[in-house]
Amino acid sequence: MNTPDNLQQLFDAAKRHQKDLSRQQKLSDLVDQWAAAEAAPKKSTKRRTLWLSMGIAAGILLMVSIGLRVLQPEPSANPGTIVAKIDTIPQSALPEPSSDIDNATPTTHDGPLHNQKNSTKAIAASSAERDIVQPLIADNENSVDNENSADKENSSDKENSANNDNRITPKEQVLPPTEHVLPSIEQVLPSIEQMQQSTGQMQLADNTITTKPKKTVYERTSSRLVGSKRTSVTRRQATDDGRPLLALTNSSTSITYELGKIKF
Amino acid sequence: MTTDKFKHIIIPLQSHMQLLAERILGDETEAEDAVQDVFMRLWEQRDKLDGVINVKSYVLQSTRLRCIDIIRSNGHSKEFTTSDVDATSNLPDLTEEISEEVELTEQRSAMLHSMLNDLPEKQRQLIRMRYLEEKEIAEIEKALKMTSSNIYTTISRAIQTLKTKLKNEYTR
Repeated sequence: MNTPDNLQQLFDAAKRHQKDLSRQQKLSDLVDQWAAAEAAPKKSTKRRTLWLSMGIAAGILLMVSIGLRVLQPEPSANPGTIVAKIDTIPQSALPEPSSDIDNATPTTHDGPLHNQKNSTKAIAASSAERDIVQPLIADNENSVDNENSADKENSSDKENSANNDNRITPKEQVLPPTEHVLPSIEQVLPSIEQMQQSTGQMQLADNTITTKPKKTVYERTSSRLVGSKRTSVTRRQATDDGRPLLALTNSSTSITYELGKIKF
Repeated sequence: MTTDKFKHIIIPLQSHMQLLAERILGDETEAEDAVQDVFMRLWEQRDKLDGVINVKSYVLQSTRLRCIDIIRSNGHSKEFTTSDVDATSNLPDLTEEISEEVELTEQRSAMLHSMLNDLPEKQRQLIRMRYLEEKEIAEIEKALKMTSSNIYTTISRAIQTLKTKLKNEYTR
């Protein structure tokens, strides 16, 4: 055996040998990893294949569902849906079906339509100043419909009113009556008569008197051509304090009434 | 060749391969990378290793060729001449030379460990930390909670003992 010349050679040899042992240990670990990596691919390949097939199946399902959704028409466009919804209303909640729908009484939120017309005519007949009221009665027939459509709009066009009449369809009649039906004109009549006494020449102008106490004042002006003379009729309803106020203005005579704080 | 056989036959040749690669490439780190590449190729072709008669020569020749490939590649840092390659061309002699050197290193390492085992515990520990693990005095102070003067004194005594032992071994 070669004997080292000095101690340093021993240390160098020992360090080198120690490094070699460390590298061999690392290589041994590497070989283990390579062996494990060669055994692992079979499992990982199976898993990968499984996940891949599941992903493809999910993608196909998604595409099919999207395709079906695109081809299917919009549910809201199907009129049968509305019928189905109406059918879901329990039979007990529905009113008795009318045997003759065509003769059924048109019903609005303001009460039976013929009652409003008849009561207006009755009040108009009992009025002393028939000449002023007469053109108003014809206009009141239109105002009934205007109440249904828009209270604040002028009712100068009769054709529009006629069209409004056509809007009352048998289907609306079949619907259950609303619970908040306003009282008929006969119930309000005593207070109207009191107003007539207090306002002198004031006449009943509209049958759409509301019983709501705090209704805002509004006015509607109807203009019509009678012969060569244009007549403008303005109706105002209810003051701020809830007191019903009836006004009638004939523009041809330029009569202006001032009642309470409201100036016309 | 099975994994266990590969570990017991091929991996111990790492010292020879490392020494040869260092001689050719002249760099310890590059030699280490080259050896690892050769090991990887040997692992991939381990089935063919069973038919090889002289496994050590085969492995060293593979290492030599790998080092030459690295030299031919652009990334090699060392100025390499053809004489360096020629010096490794005689593979039988080279294999014998490498083997002798590896064996000598292992013998000297074993000799030192034998001498260290005869030292007292404290001196043996300090010699290992200072000369084999190449730790600084401050690190040794922290680890062993000794003063630097004590460390120097103990190491000095251990070195004297080792020199005496080595001289006795030389004169034997």
